[in-house]
Order: sequence, then structure tokens, then C-alpha cells
Amino acid sequence: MEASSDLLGLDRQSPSKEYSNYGGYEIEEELELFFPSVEIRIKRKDEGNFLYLRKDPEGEIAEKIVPVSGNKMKIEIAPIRPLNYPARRTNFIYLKFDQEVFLSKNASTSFLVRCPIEIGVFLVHDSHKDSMDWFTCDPSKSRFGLYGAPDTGKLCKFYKVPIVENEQDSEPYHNCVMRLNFENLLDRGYSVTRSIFPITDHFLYYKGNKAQLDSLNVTLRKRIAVEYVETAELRLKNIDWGKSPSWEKDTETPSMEMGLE
Amino acid sequence: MFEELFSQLQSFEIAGSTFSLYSLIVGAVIMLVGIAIARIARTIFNKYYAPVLPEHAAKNYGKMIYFGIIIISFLVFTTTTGVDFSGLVVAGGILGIVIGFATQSVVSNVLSGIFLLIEKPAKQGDSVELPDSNISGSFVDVGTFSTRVRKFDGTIMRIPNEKFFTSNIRVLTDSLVRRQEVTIGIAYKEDIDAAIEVLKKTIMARMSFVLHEPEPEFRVEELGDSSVNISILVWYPKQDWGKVAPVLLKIAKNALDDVGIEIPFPQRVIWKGDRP
Repeated sequence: MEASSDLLGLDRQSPSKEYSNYGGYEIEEELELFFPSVEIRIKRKDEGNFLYLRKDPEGEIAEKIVPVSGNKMKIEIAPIRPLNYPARRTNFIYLKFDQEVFLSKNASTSFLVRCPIEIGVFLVHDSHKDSMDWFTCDPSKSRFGLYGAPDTGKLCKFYKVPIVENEQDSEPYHNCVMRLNFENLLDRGYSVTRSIFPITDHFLYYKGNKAQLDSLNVTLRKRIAVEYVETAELRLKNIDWGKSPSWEKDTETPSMEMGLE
Repeated sequence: MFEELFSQLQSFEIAGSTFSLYSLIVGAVIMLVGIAIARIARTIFNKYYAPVLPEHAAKNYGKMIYFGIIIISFLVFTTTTGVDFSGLVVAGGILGIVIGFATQSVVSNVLSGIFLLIEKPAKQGDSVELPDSNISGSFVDVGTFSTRVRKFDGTIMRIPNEKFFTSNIRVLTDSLVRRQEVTIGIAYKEDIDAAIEVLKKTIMARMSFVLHEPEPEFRVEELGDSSVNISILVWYPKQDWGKVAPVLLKIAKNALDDVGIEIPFPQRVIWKGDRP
């Protein structure tokens, strides 16, 4: 029997390698989407059912049957927060900058960094967007890091990131750009080398194959003798980019009844 | 009418308390209704509320609800039927002491169970190790008399609460991360720095659960009989032992094999003297 992947041509070399954009797609019979190291093919299987196949960078093939109510299948491809690969373990992200930023007393600064992303495939129906699949084009860079002590610290997704010039500097399908606003209210200068924050408070936005993440305000303060950091997300406003649906894998296994998981 | 009928039936006395058939039937009905309500309440709790609570908390709350309702039912039974247990308590005093001595370990296990519930040395699902007893596995629950641990081979080990309470307990999953350590030897002729560089690159590239902060650490542990022994220390999320520990040594060996760095067999150089 012919394997599904071969049936849909996933094992063949693709003639063109022009990568697909983020955004909405309507499928009547068949659709092929290409991303770096990842290929997706969706094909009508029979009346009311589509077959979805994805080949990931390790050569593994994910296969799903997707029942749809109408004649067409609608999907949205969008960047999502990078918390799922290799497994969902945390809400925190640890960005280690490739350059140190020195803030003198009472100084403030604002700069842009690249922040990794994953890519979500959402099934659009009746104004709902349900997460159907997700993947990363850069699995070798998706790693964990620990901030603090093993018992009291925070487990984070860890990335070494460069500081970039403008909002368009994201590498398509691999990362987005986010703005960090720093303010130093300490009575001394301070070198900033990293930023650790819960990324689940932030939304992603996309246009074409570029992506942006909500900004982060970071204030260094001192209360009596304790120096501490205050962070707050800042929504991006007045941009004509599409807002990504949000999705992360559950950390807890849902309760099971009758073996349904 | 039924009350009169039953009250005419013979009453009997136990330890100074008078019981009638009527009071016993009423008591039985109260207790049965109480047990039914307790079971229904526990079922509703388990179905609708327990799934959103941590597993260990859900189980304890379930027990509290169940036994709480049964205790209340018992109190209702004693007050409505007018049963006075003070006589029973006095009469049973001496007997209680005798039973107490006979069931010392039972009482000790019950009390240890209560202390374990208060202290909570581990949560349900935590990986625990009792080094003194050579037991390791996943903590299941604390029962009335014993604690259950599911060993990693899938079997359930029942440990008396008293023994568990007084044992050294190593909780393997209490911290966010754990460290794995393995040792690998390279030949004396090999470049140690080059070997460490190869090991580090390969581990960081191929082992997605190994933490990049703190980075893997490499220590020249020993100039051994046949090899220079290098310790590899890597951190990983506490849940992911199975994706790191069993494969770390294999990946390290393959990395050295791929670049032709020799992992020597134990060897001994023998100098043979000239025969007289």
C-alpha cells in the first residue's frame, strides 16, 4: 500500500522553494505550503474530509484527517509564542543579548531584539480559530535555560538573540522583532545582558512573512535596600499587521474519560 | 403508629446505654443516607472539581469530604437516637488500653499517615527514592495505614506509614531541574580540549532537553590506568530524565567516534626483563 506521504508527494523534491506567507488560506482541492525545512500539503480526501500532512526538519511526517462542514477548508498560518518545542514546560522566556547595554543612573533606552517564534496552523470555522498543528523551522535553537537556583528559579525557554535596527529585521519563519524599553531608576549604572519575562502576556502580529511581538517595559528600581526589576508588556498599537491567534500546548494532561485524550 | 409498635419491642442495654430496635433502625437509616450523600458528594467533587486541582490536593480534599460527611452523619445518629457513648467510653477504657498495646503498630501507622499528610514530603506523581530501603518510584498516595509508591517497573510498593515517615526520603522532582553526570575516557594521546569541544557541540546540538544555561560542564576527573576520564555534567527539566540520562553516554561516545577520538580499552604495558 502506498504511504500517505508519497501519495501526496511529500517525499518528492519540490520544484520551487518559494516560501509561503503567513495569513489565511482557503482550500477547495489541494494546497501546498513551504517553509524552511517544513512542507505542508492539504488535499481533499473525500466529501467533507481533508487530509493534512506535514513533514518536519527531522523528516517526521504528521498526518491528520480534518472533517470540515462546508466545501472549503479555511486555515490560518500564523507565528505563535515559542513555548511548545521540544515540550511545553514553562511560560517564561530568557533572552540573552549578544551585546551588553549599559544604562547610567536615571537613564532610559529602547532597542529591538529578535525573539524566536514557532508557527501555528489554525483551522478557521464559524469565526473560531482552532489550533490544528504547530511546528518550528529551527528546532536546533529551541532550548531551555534556568534563571536562578534549581529549586527557586525559573525554567525558561532560552535563546541568544541579536540586537537589531528596525521592526522589519526579523528572519522570516524563524523569529520576530520585539522592542524592549529600559529605564534605570537605581542610584548607580547597570549593565543589561538579558531579559526574562512571561511571554504568555504578549501577542504576536504578522505581515507577509515578518512578525512582531508586543513590547516589554523594564524598570530597574530600588525600594529601601532591595534592587528589583519591574516588567510590563506594552501592546503594539497603530500597526496594520494581523494579530496572531494565541495557542500553547497544555502543561497539564486533561482528565480522561473512556480513554479519550 | 410504627413508633409505638417498635417502642414496645424489647429494649436492651449496652454499657449503660439503652438501645431499642427502633433507635437502631433510625440510626442505620441515618448512617446509610450519610454514606450515600458522602459518596455522591465525592463523585461530584471528583468529576467536576478535582480535574482542575493538583492531583495530590484533589485526592486529599476528596477524602476530607467523604469522611467529613460520614462523621457528621454519625454525630446526627448519636444525637437523634439519644445514644450516650460516655458509658461505652468508660467501660471500654481498660479494654482500650489492652487493644492499644496490641495494636500499637496500627495506631503508629495511622498517626504517621496523619503527620505525612500534614508535612507533605512529596506530592502525588513526584519521583521519590528511599535510599535506606532501596526503593524508588513515583509517589502514589498516603493511605490510612500505608503509603504507596509505584516503582519504575510499574509495580506498586506498599510501605507502612511509620516506616515511610521515619525514612530518609529523596524527592527527585522537587527542584525545577536535575543534573545528570556521566564519565567517559579518552586515550592519553588525544587532545583533551578538542575532545571537550566535540562533546559540548554535539550535546548542545542533539539533546534538546539539555539546558543551555547553565551550559554543560566538563571536568577532567582522573588520569586513569588506561584513559583520561572526563566527567560530563548536564542539567535538564525535572520531568525529562528519560530523554537525557539514558542517552547521554551513547551520544557522547558517538560524538567521539565520529571525529576519530579513541576511547581506549583497559590496557597494561608489561616490560619484560632479560633472562639471566
